[in-house]
Amino acid sequence: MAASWRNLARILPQLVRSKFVPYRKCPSLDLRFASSQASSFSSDEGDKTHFGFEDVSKEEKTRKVHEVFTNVADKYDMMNDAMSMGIHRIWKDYFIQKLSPTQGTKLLDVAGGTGDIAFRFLDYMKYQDSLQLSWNIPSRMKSPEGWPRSPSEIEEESPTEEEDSHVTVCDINRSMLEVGQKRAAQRGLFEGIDWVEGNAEELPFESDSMDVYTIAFGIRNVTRVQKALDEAYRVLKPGGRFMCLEFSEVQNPVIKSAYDLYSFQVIPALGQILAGDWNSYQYLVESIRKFPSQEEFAYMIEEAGFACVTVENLTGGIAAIHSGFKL
Amino acid sequence: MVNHNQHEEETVTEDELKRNILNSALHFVPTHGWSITAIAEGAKHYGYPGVAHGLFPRGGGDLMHHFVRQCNSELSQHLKTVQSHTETSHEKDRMSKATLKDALEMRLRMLIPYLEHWPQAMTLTALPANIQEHFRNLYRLIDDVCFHAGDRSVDFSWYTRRLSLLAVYKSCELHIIQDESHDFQETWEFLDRRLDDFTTAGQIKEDIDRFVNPEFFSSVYNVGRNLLGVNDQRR
Repeated sequence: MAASWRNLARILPQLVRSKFVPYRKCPSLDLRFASSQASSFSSDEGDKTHFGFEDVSKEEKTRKVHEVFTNVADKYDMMNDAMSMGIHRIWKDYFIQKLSPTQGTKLLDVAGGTGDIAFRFLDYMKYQDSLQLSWNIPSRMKSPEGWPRSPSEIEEESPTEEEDSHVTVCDINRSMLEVGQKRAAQRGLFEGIDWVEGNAEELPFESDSMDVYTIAFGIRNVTRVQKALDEAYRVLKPGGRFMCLEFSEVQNPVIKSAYDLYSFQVIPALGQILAGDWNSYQYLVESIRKFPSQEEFAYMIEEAGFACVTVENLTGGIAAIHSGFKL
Repeated sequence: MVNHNQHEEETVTEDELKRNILNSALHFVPTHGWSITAIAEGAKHYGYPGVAHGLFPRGGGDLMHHFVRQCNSELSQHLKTVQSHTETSHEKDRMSKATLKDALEMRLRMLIPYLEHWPQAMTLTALPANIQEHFRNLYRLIDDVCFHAGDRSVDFSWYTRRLSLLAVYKSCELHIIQDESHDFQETWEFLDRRLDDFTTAGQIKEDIDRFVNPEFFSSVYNVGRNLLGVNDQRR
């Protein structure tokens, strides 16, 4: 507790100083700038990109993002809970529910270091098994003589013909993967999950090898977004699904003003108090403002070749689910 | 597993592809019901991963609508050919009961392979996401049947006929899902009786028409307005 107060005392001057800074520094608050941002996101030409509101070279962005996530890895999950007040769990649950994976699905979760999506996926598969069982009972009970059945009969039916579901977690950052592996061990999960260190722009997987590609709160931090989307298209099998959960643009002006106030004034301070790191969380909120809006990002997904692209806003557009299919 | 080669993939449009997946999903309805699982199995059968069921955001609802649309167009095709064979001696503005019965029976027979899960499909039609398309499909079915049975009315009976035929069809649907008789004989008898009622009702309506003319309706309307106190012109 005392440490927290000391932290607070340390950051108070910073809080005061930063009071109106974000609004001056933030061009994305003005909609007119939106299209120019998207073009800077989608074009691979030129070596400038942005790191939060700073303009940096592409190599530097990759390095800085790596630095940020190495810094926050240990506190990442706790901070997600604190900053989103737990809502990110609902978003992720809904995300998996919307995907409704079927038995035998091969999932690639990119930028999923701490395993949030991977664990939910595996839990869903387990839950789905039990759901299936309960569906079968009524039809069995229709013939009374067939119920209860002998154990040998049940064994015959037990599903062996289905392939096992599998999830591959790919992250560019080793520290994030380590956190995820530790959490998997705590849950006793050792099967059906792989951990791979790799770049979303150059995935270390064969073409046409995955059923689903998910990326949750990760694509924003990729240096060349369009290249990552092209890679997603490459590794997916025909009929495979691309799903992305990412912060997006809030359209409602009332929610937007409250949201901006919260992100620029509260989140970096929370980062300082709870994780002892102001700059990483300053980057977090800035990078959200720099990310293209729902429509622009959907257009980029279509550019990569995906069909049936849909967008769904969550909590008024604070986050959005983009979905597309490789047909 | 049906594998589609490169060449085919280029020529198949998005809509055709969806239709193909749903068509192969229909084979799995008797085992999995009108559900995402059936669509996923269908997609797998087509050579796609199971998660391709996400192409159909309404899940079982999309599958059910696809089936209904397919049945409707099949019926309409059939009625067209039948009609051209017996280019008709129908009296103008009067529907032949035989045609109605044949059409409705044929349509109901299309449900038989899926009868065990048809109650589930009927509950799906009550979901807000499905309800609009459900009534649109139902309207198309009834409209086709009426047209091919020789209904050329342009007056108010256009509406009453379609509404009462809709009631006939829906009640038969409810009957057939509980029918355990041989070859659903009871349902066809039920249908026959309902159509008798339907034509009698049409007869009564014609009788009423002879007594009731437009002035009668407008005077009823005015009385109603006076009773409700909304007839004040000075407002």
